[in-house]
Amino acid sequence: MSPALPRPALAAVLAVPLLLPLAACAPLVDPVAAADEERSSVRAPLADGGELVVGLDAEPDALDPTLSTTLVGRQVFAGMCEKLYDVDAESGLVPQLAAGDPVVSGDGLEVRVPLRTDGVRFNDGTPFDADAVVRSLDRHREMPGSTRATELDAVQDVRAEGEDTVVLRLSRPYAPLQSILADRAGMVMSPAALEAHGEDFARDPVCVGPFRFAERVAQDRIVLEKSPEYYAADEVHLDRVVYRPIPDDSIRLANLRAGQLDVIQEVGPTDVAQVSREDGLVLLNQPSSHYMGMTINLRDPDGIGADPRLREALALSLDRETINEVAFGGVYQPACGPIPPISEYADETVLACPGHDPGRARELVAESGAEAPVPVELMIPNDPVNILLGQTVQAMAAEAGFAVRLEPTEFASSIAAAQAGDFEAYISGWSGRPDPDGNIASFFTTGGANNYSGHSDPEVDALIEDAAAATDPDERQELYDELVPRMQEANAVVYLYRQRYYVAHRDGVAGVELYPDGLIRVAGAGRTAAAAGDGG
Amino acid sequence: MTATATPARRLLRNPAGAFGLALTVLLVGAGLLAPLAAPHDPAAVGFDRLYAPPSWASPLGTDELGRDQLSRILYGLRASVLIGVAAVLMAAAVAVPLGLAAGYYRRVVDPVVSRLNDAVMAFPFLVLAVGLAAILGPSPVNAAVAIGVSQVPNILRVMRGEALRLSGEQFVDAAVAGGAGDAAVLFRHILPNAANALLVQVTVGIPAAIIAEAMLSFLGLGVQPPTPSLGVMLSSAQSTFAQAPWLAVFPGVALVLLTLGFNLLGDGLRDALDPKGAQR
Amino acid sequence: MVRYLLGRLAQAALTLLLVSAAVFAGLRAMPGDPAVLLAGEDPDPETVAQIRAELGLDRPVPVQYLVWLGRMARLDFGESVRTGLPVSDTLLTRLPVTLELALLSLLVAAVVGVLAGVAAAVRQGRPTDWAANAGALLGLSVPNFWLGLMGVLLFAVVLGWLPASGYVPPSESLTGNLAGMLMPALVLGTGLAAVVMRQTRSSMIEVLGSDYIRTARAKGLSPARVVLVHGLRNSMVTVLTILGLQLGALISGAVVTEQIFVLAGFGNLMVESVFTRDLPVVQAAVLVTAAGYVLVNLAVDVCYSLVDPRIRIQGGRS
Repeated sequence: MSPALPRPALAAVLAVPLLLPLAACAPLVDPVAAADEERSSVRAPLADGGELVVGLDAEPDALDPTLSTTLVGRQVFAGMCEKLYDVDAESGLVPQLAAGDPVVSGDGLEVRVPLRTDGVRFNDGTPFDADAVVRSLDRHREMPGSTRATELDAVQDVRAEGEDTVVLRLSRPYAPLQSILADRAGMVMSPAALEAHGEDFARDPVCVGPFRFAERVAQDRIVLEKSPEYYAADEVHLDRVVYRPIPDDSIRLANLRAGQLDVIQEVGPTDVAQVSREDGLVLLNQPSSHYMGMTINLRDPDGIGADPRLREALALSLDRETINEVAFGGVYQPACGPIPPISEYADETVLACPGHDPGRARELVAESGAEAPVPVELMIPNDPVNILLGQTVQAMAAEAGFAVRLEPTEFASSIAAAQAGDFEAYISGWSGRPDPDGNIASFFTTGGANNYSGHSDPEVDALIEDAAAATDPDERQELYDELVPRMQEANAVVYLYRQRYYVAHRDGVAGVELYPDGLIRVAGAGRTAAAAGDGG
Repeated sequence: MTATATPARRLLRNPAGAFGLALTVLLVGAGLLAPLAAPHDPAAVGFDRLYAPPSWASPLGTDELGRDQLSRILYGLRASVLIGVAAVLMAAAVAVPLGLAAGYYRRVVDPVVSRLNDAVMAFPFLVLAVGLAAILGPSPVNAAVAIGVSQVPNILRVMRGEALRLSGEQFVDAAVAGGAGDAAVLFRHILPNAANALLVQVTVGIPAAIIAEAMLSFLGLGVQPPTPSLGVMLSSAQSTFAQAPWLAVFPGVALVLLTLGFNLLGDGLRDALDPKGAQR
Repeated sequence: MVRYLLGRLAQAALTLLLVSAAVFAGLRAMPGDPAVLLAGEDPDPETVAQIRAELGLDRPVPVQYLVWLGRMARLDFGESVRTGLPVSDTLLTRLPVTLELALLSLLVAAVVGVLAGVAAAVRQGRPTDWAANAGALLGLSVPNFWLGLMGVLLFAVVLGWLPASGYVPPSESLTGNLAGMLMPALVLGTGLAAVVMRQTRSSMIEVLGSDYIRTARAKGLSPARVVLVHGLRNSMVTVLTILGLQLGALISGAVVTEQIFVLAGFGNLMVESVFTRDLPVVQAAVLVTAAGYVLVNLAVDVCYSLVDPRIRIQGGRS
């Protein structure tokens, strides 16, 4: 059909792709600078009014505190649903809708939460009282499909005592309770809205908060507007907050630079150094309890999980500093245990690291009698960053005599495989909980929901249970000091790194707060007076 | 162009076709001989030479794990060619008998096959690929299956058309009158006469399959790291483009040259096998 | 004609039924239970079982399929498992993005392809012809995801000339909308333009060589008029068919283009929803896509059969 092409035309065809490589060849920027500088917010005089557009890294799930499962969903709740307790800048717990710390009875089985009654109203005008709290807690505990039910498992019964106190009866002493009430389980929903929508609360969620839900356009935006009912409405500057899901890191950043977004959640690790130096942008930076770890299947009789020496060898083969450098440009933190450095229980023992020792790893492989290279199948999430992480692990483990085969698997399938015990090693993440128990119990207790390794040790189970029940901080510390080293010895989970939260906003905005829980707090945010003046 | 020239001669006399053949042979050869041609081990990681720009030691630079990109591209070509060819052959194995049968048995087979074919065409390819990857796990074989399925309709349509056209020809009537069974008619008389059309369709299908493979691997659904694949390389180059553009450019160039070779070859073959069409 | 039309409609319905059964069976063969994903990071078996029952996933698959078919017949698309919002709302926010992308790239393909094809045919064997052919060959050989990647990286990330951003609705800003859609439409239109160019060129050459064009020329009509009025009109039928046939390629191309340019379109929605196991969304989106494909091809066939009644006898394209 096409006639013979003469040579000049061919040359033209070929020249185009060959010329492209001549485009800019800049050296890599030094990525480590400025990564450690923590900053939770910047302050400046604020003007009243205006809109704040926040770029999120995914589409939030249902905006129902009882059903919500994602961090990105919690970002939106942070603007419109206050909780009984909140996390402060130092990861401490402070009362929010509660009037003070919970009062625990001597036997640890009765917890009284005093409530604010000073004119607090839901965003639909319904008064906030103890009955409303009871109704929300009951819904969290009992609604079919509630993802709060496990968190509130220890709670046997909730009742109101007058208008300003709720009393929780527990089936066992449970130290993490207050931290759980500082998350979605502590969000209180308007009884009127629950009456109107029932299980479809997410269609028009109403809580106590600085902003109230205005509209949600699926896959496009969620709009909140300033609430006139809010008890501290005179401290709220913005008229509207708009959340837009933009999953790609670089596109989200490009939109921030172009001014289409004012704030972005999650600056990609490769962009952190650049953004920290960029005019017009402010980088907020907080440590987190979000970690990635490699779970090893102890129940796999043919795998490395069956031999503690091989597990230890694999753990020792990993150089966490280099992993952090190669995969994340050095902007995250190496991690060796379940308790993050920001925790009040993070002492030397808990943070101790077995470290990198390829020589010892090779010896252990030899001692095990396994024929090197020892094959290992490693299931990893199938996104570019984790694939890079997987390849880094693969290269390091090879030094110690392991032939790691990567199996990138999409999230839903990997969960299914992990639950079925159909894996040898599995790299996965945990968003982290403020209380140590939330990062331990589910993973190490016999039969725990996230105990994919099949770890089972009655003594460890008892230690976990005692630590969760201990209400005296010193006693808890001692228990964790005993527990964590035992967990590390088991090498059922080999911890790799802990993420840091990087949030960026434009310099015409101030008062946006980022705490170690990763939530972007917008209650006190606004346009700077200077920027508003410029705008006329 | 004389009427007596064989198709092979006609192909070689056509500069574009000859160039396409040369380019295809060169790149396919380089890929298949990658173990001999590659200057370095494509899997050799070097944490001290991450993102090295092109140099004598690594003519096309090194990647995010310090691996030599030239070597990885050579192995990547190999994966592309093998998967692309396998996908099209699988598609042909399914589509040729079905297409011939549909064109020949127009009352019974055609309605069934055509509806199925329509359904495959109407099904979004990427959903199919994502689904297969989720059910069977992402792998080169499953990527080839998904691509093969998406290639079936094209080949099937061509073969059905050929069978329709040829079943009206005198030599088929003669064979039927001579007592030849259906299978004999289909495979001894119709298929050989449809071979040219099939060859052209296969040659055109290969570059399409190669592009589809690269796309699936780019999206994490095909070849899995650390096995080198052009699509995988492009995918991981995405986030470091500003710092290391060579990682996004060279694998793409290799991909373009490979598909260009096959496309030129396909055009050349079509002209060479169909002298009437070539005059246009 | 009415009988032909009814027959084709019945075929279309059958095709869609096959597609829906395939997607339904496929989704249920996937590992990864939607209920487990919904149960959160710390799922207990009781919660999972409750969610399964809520979603009706505890029933046998054929029953689930029939229930779903019954609902679809009433145009009830159900609710997204993940967001709890009606699926129809989700589809409706996403559809305009993909439609705009598809139409703009069709426009690019038709304009560029037809102009280049006509120019090449008229100047057959001359430099214009070579250039057009070389361009078409390159258009066919460059994978559009790589072209898109290069485009984003070069124009948006490095040079900052064009937004790399997602979709700006035309109601918000028409220029912003077009600036955002320019690159995706060009990228997606390239391969199609190449196909259209080649087809236009060869059918134009055929038409220009035919008797009635020679007659028209002999009658003294100007060459430009001959090309435009007679040649182009006749070759449009071919082009129309090609566009119909390429619609499938356009749809899968759109999926990838949306991924690269992070456009919140239909393609992105389907892939995302497979990953999050949002079954009602995937089922509805695949069905709507397939219906679009089937209907456009039906329309093309009907147009075609009006132009050329011989087609009807065959009962379809061959």
